[in-house]
Amino acid sequence: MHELLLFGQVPRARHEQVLSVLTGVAAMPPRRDKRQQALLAQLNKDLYYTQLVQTLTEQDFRGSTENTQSSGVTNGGRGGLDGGEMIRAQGPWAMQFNDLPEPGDKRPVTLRYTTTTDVVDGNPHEYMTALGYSYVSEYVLEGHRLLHKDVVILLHRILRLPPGATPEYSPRHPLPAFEALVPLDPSGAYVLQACLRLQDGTKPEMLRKGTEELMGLKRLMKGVVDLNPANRLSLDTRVKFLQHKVEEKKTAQLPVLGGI
Amino acid sequence: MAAMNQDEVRALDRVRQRLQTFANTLGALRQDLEKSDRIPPWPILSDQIQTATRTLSSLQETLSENSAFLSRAHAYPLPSFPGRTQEGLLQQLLRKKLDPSIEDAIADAKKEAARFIDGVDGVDGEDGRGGKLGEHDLADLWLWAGPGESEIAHSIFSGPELMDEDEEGSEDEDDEAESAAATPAVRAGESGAPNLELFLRFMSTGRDPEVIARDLQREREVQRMVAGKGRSANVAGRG
Repeated sequence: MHELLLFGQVPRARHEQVLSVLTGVAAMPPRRDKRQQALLAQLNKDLYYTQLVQTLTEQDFRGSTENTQSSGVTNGGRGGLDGGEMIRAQGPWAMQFNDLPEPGDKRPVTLRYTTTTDVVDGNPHEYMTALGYSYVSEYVLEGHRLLHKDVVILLHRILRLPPGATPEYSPRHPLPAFEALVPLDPSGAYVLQACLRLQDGTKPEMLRKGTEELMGLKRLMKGVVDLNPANRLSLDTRVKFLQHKVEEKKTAQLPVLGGI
Repeated sequence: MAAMNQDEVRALDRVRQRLQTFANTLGALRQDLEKSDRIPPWPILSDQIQTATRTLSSLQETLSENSAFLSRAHAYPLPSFPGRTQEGLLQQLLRKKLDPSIEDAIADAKKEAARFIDGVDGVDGEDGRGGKLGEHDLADLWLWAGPGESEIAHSIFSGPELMDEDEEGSEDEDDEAESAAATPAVRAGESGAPNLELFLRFMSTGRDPEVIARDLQREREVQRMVAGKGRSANVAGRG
């Protein structure tokens, strides 16, 4: 499956306004959308990042409020969590792989290959680890999702785990309280992502239609948000700086050993 | 006269190709600037200018590679050349001096370049001797202005922190120095909000945002250096 993408940036102050405009454009109330994304890198084979994605509900945060408070004090408890119970089935996970966008300067939208595999049962993280992947980091996407014709519009921001709460080996569960998450951008800017999925991006006819629809949205949003294709290399999902990563892993092992 | 060998013919042909590419690139750029009712956006312009610079430097490479042969090559029209019908072309081929308009342009460019690049190093504006910058000074300036400017741009885009007054003053100077040299790549990087770039990179790789920001800055600096190099090569080529 391929997807066509356009990106825009919305400052915190204009978030409400843009959301209202989008609601009007899409003629539907925005749906609240929260997702936990864990990034896993495969070190021995393809050298690409793969993501584990999970849709979150309010409960995923609320249930953990007391837990954060206590785990802030006892480091050992967190270490045990990492080693043992890890991910319980809260919401279904999905494995998502995004390829490096296709080259081509003239294309007005970003085109990339993507696959999403829903995980029905079992522990996806253990499965991925067995495949040779290792955990890199994770973040939470928080925002709204709308649908305009065939375009999925995501207006979201990236939230990171509070410093010190980042696990070393596996996606964190349970998550800390929602309020404790730190936005990646200190000013709290949002990212607007318009995405159109194509069953087969190699067919020029489909590609043309999809591009036209996205460009239609771009024209519609002109003056509200500038939608542009992304710089190809900024969506690069190839793993780089392996040396660096290996060192990171080595140092990461020490506190865990100390904790046990 | 000894007949040209295969290599020399090939060299000529290569020069011809490079010239044609360069002429096409410049032509396209010029047409864009003249014909479109609004000036095309910066990223597109900078792309085109970069392409032009690239083709120009490859032309220069070809020229200098074959300089020995090219400097002793002459045009000899064969008797079978249709001199009557193609008189203009013949004149052009046999002309040894450059076109007057081109000669003027070269003189102008030399004069402009002399304002910036002087044989003497280390004479800058500070000691009040009517600031002529040596090539060395220019390089220093770029080394300083590059990171400085990207820091300022970063603070503008990344948040509401206001800058000090005197910092703004230095930025103005910086801007002046820059608009004199207007490096397109830098401009493009500036307008395409760096934050979005950081978001996307973080979403794709999950690396530490600080590391990503550092990488971005380094990339921008490299871009700037490359653009700066291309520029000085141009000036040297014309002089």
